[in-house]
Amino acid sequence: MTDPVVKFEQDGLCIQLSRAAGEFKVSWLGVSDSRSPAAFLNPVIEQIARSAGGAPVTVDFTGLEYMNSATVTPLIALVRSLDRARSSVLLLFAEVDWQRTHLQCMKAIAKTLQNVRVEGRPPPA
Amino acid sequence: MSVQLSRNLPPHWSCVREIRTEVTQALGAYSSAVRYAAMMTSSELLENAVKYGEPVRQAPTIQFGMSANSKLIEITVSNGSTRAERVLELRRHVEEITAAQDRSAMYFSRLRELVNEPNQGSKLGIYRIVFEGEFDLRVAFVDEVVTVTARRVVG
Repeated sequence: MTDPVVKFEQDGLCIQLSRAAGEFKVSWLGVSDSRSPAAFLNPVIEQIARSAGGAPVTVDFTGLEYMNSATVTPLIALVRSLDRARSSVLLLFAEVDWQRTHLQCMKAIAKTLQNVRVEGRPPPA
Repeated sequence: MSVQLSRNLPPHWSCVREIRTEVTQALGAYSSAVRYAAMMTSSELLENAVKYGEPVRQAPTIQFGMSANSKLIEITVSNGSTRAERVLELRRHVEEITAAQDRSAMYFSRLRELVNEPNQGSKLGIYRIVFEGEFDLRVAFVDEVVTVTARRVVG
């Protein structure tokens, strides 16, 4: 069964939350470059973690075009809160130059967490 | 291959996105990796200038400059600041990161700290410029004007 897609949008960033067959998918699309991304993202993250409730979650960053460094902290908070909720978490990054660095970074972080895997994917067409 | 870009900018957040677009367009002849690194570096430095800068007599606005040739890309951002302690802290921070033998280890270590202490300020921009962008940084502070220069050898 597939639920309707829930969208959270602000200033060029769109986060889509969807569920199919009991698994959640969180897709980041566009650009995250606001002055205080945490103000927008933290409530979204809380809702995502609450909705997932321990179910498997794929967080897909392959559609993200750019993010500033201020986005990194809430992004880590999302991964951490899902890990703490014992969700099986799969993080997907595009195999393009800038996302490859974030893929490496998240792999390093994933080693300190229990339930997080990180994989690269070809960039979306 | 030679590029020059110079802008006087008001301390508005929208300027950051505009400069990212201009830098990306101006460096069209460079590889996508170098273009991205310069764009990200310009963006992070300008974000800091908008967040922490203040108008002073010698620098009423933010000054952005970029020059690029076949060997070197240099990005300079200047802004006013009356808070010398904050600027000196920035300079110490830059010197510490720039002098690190293993910049990736330093960056990963900082990220791990954020996993454990998510409520502290990230201060990741400088790490990101040095590790991810592969730029070297220098901070100068003269007459209440802080100038951050980022350089990357590309040739």
